[in-house]
Amino acid sequence: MLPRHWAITALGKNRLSRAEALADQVLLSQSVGTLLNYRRELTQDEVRLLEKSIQVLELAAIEHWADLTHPSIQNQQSRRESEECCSIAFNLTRALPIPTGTEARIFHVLHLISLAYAGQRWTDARRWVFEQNGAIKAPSVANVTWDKRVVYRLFECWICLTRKDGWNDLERVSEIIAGLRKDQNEDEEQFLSQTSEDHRALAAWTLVSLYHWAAATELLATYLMQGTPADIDPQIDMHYEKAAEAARGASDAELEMIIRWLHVASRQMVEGAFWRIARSVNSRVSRYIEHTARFANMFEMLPPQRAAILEEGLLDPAKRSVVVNLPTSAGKTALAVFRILQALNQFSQDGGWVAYTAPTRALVSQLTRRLRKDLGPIGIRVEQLSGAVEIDSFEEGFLEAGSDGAKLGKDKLPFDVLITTPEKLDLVIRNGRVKRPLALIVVDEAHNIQESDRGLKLELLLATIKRDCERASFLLLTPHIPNGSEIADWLAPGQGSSKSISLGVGPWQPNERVVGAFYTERGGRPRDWNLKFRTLQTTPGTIHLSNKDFTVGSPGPIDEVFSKVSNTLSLQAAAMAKVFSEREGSLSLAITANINDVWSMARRLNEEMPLLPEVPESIRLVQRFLRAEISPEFELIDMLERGIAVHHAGLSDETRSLVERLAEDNHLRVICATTTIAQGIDFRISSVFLASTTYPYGQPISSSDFWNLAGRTGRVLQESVGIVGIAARGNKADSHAAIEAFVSSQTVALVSTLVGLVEEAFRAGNKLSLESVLHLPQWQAFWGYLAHIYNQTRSSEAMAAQAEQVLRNTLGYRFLERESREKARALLEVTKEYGRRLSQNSQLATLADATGFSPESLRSAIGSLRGKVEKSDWKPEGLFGGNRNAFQNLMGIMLNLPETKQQLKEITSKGMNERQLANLTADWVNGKSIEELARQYFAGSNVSEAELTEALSKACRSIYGKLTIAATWGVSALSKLPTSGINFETLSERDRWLLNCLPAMIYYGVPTEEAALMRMHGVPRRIAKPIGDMFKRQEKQITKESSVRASEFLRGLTLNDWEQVVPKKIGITGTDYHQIWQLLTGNTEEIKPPSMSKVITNEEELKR
Amino acid sequence: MTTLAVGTRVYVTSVNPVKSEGWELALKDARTALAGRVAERVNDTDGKVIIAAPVSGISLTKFQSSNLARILLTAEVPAWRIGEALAECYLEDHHTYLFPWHTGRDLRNEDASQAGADLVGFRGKGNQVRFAFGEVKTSEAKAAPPNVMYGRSGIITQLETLCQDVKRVDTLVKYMGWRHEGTPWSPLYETAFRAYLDDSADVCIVGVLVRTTVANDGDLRARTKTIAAKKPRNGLLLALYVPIPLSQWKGLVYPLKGGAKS
Repeated sequence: MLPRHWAITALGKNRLSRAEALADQVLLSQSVGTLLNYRRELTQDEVRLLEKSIQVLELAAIEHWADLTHPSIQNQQSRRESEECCSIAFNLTRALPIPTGTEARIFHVLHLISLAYAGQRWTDARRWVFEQNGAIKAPSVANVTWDKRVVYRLFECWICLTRKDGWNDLERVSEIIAGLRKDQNEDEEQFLSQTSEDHRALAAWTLVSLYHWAAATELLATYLMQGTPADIDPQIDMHYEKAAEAARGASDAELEMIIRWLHVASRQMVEGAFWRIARSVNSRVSRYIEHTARFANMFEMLPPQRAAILEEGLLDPAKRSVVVNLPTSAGKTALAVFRILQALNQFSQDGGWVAYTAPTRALVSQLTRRLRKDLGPIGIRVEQLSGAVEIDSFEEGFLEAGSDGAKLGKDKLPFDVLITTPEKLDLVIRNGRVKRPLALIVVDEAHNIQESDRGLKLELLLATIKRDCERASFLLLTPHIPNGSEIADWLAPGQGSSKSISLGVGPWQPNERVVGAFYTERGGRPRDWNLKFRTLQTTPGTIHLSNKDFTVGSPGPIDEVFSKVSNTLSLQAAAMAKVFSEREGSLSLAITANINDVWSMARRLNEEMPLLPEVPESIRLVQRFLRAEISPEFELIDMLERGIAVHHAGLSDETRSLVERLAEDNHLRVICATTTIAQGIDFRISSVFLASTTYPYGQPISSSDFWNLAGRTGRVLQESVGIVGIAARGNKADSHAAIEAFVSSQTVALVSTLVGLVEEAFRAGNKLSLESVLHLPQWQAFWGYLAHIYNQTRSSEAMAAQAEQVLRNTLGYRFLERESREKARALLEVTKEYGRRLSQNSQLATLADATGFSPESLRSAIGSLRGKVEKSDWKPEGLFGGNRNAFQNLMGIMLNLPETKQQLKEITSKGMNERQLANLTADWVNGKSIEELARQYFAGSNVSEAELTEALSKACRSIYGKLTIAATWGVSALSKLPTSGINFETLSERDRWLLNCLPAMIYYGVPTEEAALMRMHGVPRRIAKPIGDMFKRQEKQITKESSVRASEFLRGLTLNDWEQVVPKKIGITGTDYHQIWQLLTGNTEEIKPPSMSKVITNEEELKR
Repeated sequence: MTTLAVGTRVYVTSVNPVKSEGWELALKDARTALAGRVAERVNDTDGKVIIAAPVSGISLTKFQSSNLARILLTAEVPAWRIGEALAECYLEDHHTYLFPWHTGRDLRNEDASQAGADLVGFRGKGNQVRFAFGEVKTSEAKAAPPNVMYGRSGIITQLETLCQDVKRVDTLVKYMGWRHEGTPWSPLYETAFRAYLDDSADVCIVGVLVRTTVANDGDLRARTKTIAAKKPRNGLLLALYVPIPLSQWKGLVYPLKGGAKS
């Protein structure tokens, strides 16, 4: 919010709004003007309006100048107002033409950078510096007087400080200043002797000022690199104060003012440095900061991170539960890293561990790669669990290893951070698989608590952790929700125990965005139609140019007749993506609701877009991988030649991960995707164009998912403006109005799904009774939760006595208690009644915990399974060998269980029966390739390229998205039932181990236990078996402990080893596979250390 | 402190909106002025604070400090600075101007990144307060007009620049903005700023020629028209005739030191 300052009042709202609008127009014109046929240059009067407005904003900002140089909690309010002034002043200054005179240009740029720092916009200044060429070029120091040379050199230092393109930039600052000191003696004397006597004292004052500025600059660079001197603040203040006084002595108003602004910028830089955190926390944090500064090019916190840590107390150990509301791309993961380090430190004596959950397998993999990269180098082990909802033998070994910390040694613990989905973590927690204490649970995308399908499971997982893991802390990461405090208080009630950090509002955002509607307009000839774009006013405040519809690209941006394109929104989205892909180095996302349309878009773009001038080796590698693992005829391979990729559920997990990696590494131009990408995107894009705002299963994209996606647009160092477009049907008012309503919808308070379930029951029957909801699929997670509680109490009386407390652990009950006592009481009664029901067959409760199935599903499964399988069937050859009757029977049962039927029915609804399901699964396990499976089960014998693509998509979607999840869970659960034909008590340990390997074989699609273990560690399917064989030769016998050694084994393989396992002449080498494995798992090579320090003198500089 | 004597008006010219006046000070009045009010302004405490601190801190920068310290500790105040102080005092006492600090020492570095002005302050009262910017030249040359009126660094070119170069005036306005907070002249700044915000030309431009010669209307006559052609909203050219040779000024301003250091 702007302060109530007399100068702002004098300027008036109208003039200020007009100035801001002008700045927006210039920004849009400069960033995407060519693509939108829009060019905006300012008139002299407009320039003057901007200048005046900047003056006013600065005047208001400097009223609290001391707050900007000495930020603290106490001056937060007035400082925020000053920051807002500086932030707007930055926008306006950025829109002004850059002066052409050398000194004027230097002062303009330094002023712009300072305003950015003062306005918490340093990331924008950094991007601006990257985008500029001429403006930031340091002037030549040849034949200039000493005073000017010092200024030019300091200017270069500040460009390096702002850009921070790696360690070298900061080292250069020290080198330049050391060089100036070396040159001083000779050159200063000469300069002063040539200055007239009248002006000599003024010149001397100027030099005094510049030397203090140089000293402060050098301190700053050193601090950013090394965190020293720890007491930098008073030293910085001293130098800038003396520099300003000396500038006054030199009668140089402009120098004095820029010194004052740089003082603010420097203090803000120090305050935002990662080293700032190291002051108050522990050694792990210092090691992490040291590592990221040196190798990951991370020196400064993003403004919301800084606010969360330094002002909001994110790392306050007294806060057991913290909910962080941050916009997308505000650095939530990095915040989690600090909290993780703190938690691990706190529990270091007890071998504590951290659980991190993400909603999708793709996000789990992305997070694992990211955290491994960040934390691996400082000795923190990050591992992921598979997405299968069962714990196989390997995972069992892995989770339990190191439970006796003393025996294994703390440095041998298999993991410190475990990343997985909520469902899987639920199994781990409920069964107490990890004996070490849970220090912290981090929940990414925690707003999913209100998601209808899986939300309740997540809520109940947190309730279980509250109960079972007394010492655990909670960190919930969400986009903006209005009731963060309520959620934080639910998890750790009591004064001072919880904290909601809401940083959704403030001047900072990752970058500017335009959200608009695109539509087609008839042209003179059928193929000369126009693609139009209209910006929209949105709730979070994006750039909006009212009353203006832009023409995108040239007429007929894709070669199609108007009648077709106007009726095909996905074609329009493709056309938008094509035009915007012309932005240099950009990546556009074209989104539609279903997989077939995604392929159509991609095919069309493949016909229309040019080949990449040079195909990068990473793309070549992925192409070789796809040929070997999917099919030489896979359409994506050819599309990659043009920088086009697809992303949807009809791809293997590995393919999707590799597409993401290519996107992260900036090798792609366009990705065509289904709307589901909105729920699992973790890389930056330049623009996104949606042909549809609904998910493939018909539900509309939620406001938070939409903004999550929109928040990814505009990349950190590349585009000032991210573009988001939604397809409208022509220029029809109702279509545009619907889009406007969609982008303006407000985020709503997070509500428990449990509340919805109770209310639904009341609506249906005016009351809640156990009978009426017992078998409803949506209630099964709740019964599972109660079964777990029952297992701990083992009596219905004890459970009844604790029922209220048990319920109060849920978010839903707390809400009901407050809003409707009647409904809360009804839920309490149902809970008690269910306890009594469980006491009649307490084995069900035990099985529910062991399998993750609800007691009701188990009750029905026990009956169905009786007589359908025998002990001998529960072996690989029994299930996946020639006779698949038993497996077929199991599939039949799974098709009727609420937990598995939905996913399996999605496959059977396409005409596949349970026998074929069993055969498909067995063939998958026995190693048939995706192409073979696609041809055999999802296509006819002679198929076209497009039909093969469709079949491959169906195969991948069915296998990876459905079959592996449902069949794995089902087989694992059914094997544990008393009617499975196996008596667990009499099984040898080895047999039990082998039995528990079956689900992993299904999940990973491999025929041996060792191959499954290799897959678990990221080895691609085709070579998992031979690498597994190699591992087995080393291990002699695969056991629980093997899972801990597997990761080490893989890291220790030589390239020659990798070559040995790859069949010859299949177009891909062992080295390729090794690289793919590295890409998929984030196990990367060591990084080259930075260069040694040196001094850059004038002479050396002139030689360069 | 005693107000400066107004002196005798020896000529007046006016080319709308610029007015030119020549005023001659009596010898006694001139001595009183230089030894009193002007001396105090030249010796303002503001300046002294500047000297002491940074010189002592240069070594903290790890740059060599000996050269600079020597120059700064031995530098003398040039006579033109005394002329500027006289001009400020005279304008304050007789033309409703206010110069809140000894601006002459602050904003006249010709080598500075963007040259400022000798005079930076306000003119007028109540709602009519406006920013005032000006230049001062001190000359004992016999010729009328003296050569300090001409050329690139002559007063006329400087005043023309002040009339036309909004960037330069912006800088001065901004600079005053940095210093106005909490001062007695803050309300004047607000009023002047509002007027400036609505119209950048709504400032006063003033040029002062301090002479030790006999009054001669040829000093300003032709220049009045030149400045008027640049269309300032309000302009004043003033010539002050001081019947004391420049060589004696330092002795009057620093009676005990016989020409003190700055």
